[in-house]
Amino acid sequence: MAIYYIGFPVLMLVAVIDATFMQLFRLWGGAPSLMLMVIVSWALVAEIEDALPWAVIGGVMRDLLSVTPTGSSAVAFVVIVIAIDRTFPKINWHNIAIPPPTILVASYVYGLMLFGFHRMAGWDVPFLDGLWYVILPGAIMNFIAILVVFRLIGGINNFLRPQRGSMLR
Amino acid sequence: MIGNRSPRTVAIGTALFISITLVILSLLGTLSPAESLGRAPLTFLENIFGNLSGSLDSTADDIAEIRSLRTRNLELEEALADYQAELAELREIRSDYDRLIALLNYTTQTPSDFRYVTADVIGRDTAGVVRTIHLDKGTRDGVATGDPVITELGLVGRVVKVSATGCEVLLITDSNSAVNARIQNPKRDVGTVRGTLSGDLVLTFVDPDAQIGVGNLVLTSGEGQNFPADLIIGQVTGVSLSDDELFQQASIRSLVDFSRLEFVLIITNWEPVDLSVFEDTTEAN
Repeated sequence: MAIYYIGFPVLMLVAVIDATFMQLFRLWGGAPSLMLMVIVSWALVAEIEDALPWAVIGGVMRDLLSVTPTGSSAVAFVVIVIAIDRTFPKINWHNIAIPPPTILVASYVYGLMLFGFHRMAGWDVPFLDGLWYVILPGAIMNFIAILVVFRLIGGINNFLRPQRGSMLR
Repeated sequence: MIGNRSPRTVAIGTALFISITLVILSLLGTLSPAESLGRAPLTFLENIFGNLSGSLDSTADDIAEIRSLRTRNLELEEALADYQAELAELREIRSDYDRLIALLNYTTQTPSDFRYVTADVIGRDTAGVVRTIHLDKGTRDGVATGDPVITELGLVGRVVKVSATGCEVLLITDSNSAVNARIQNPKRDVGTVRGTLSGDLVLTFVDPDAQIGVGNLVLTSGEGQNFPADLIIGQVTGVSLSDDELFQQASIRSLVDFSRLEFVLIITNWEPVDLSVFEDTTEAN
């Protein structure tokens, strides 16, 4: 249960860090997304029942600090969590092979879904330019930073659920 | 039936249902009060973190720029001397202008009539594809949707979302932004300044016969009543024909550094003329 008490303030903080500190690393139109890295890391180490609430709450928090319709990021995060659950078994938090390619794909899935939601909300989104000008730099920065975030989230999960951690492959 | 389903399926179904419902309600606009309420604590935190990240950013910049700033300071001192002479001359012209305006009993809203609220930039849109900034002033400070936002160097954008304690500003560099503009050339030609995905500004829909010169200032025209007239947008840096060769277009360089905005001014008392009555007439015809 502790995981849910921790989750809310942590996600709130992550959303704010995404809108402030992470914007200092903006390259072209893209910036690293700590929220996406947290959600992907959590989906890789925890059960889907634990990861989904983080995806929904984290997505809503992120959208509240954006012009994106509320819930758009939540839908995208939920889709990513489901895809990860179907693709990989739960991995050990020392794993360094799976998180980087996963975040690369997740960045594109998330970016493309957000483009779609922006279009639905009436924003003009130059689709092809956005692929390389916005999503690519963000995906590369996520790729570089994911292992740090993954180790941190894996550590938290291991601390909160030690019995499950010991069974990890 | 639900009792037969695994907790995993129920969790997936619930998460998808909640998320999609939120998107639909948000698109319909019914979530606005709840969004405003939910944004308040985030804006509070964003204010604290925004100041911290702003200080961090400016400290790093300051260290890197000390040498270039010294040279720049010398250049500016020389320029200041020139401008002071020009200012004296312009004051004389302004004095003549004021007297003539008084004679004509002509009233207009000038920058000195505007009421400004100073706001700190506390964050930026996380989506990347939309160029917006978050400010620490909201409805409590008199800010409303549509309010123009400027700095002493020129136009920044307009407020698109507002809560009690904060607001979101769509920058003029965003590709969704369009500002009716006037070129400060002898014929005072007009056009539309649009943002691009790369953050550059382009002046489009300018008459092909217009004489646009590199260095010409571009100001808001006030047409369409999206912004007050005569706010500086930027300076022309290059001119070309549009792809279909029906119009001229020019690249514009704003004096505002949009990536390093720290504080801005929100004009809170500008009231656009309601043009909807004319649109209705056109539709009726």
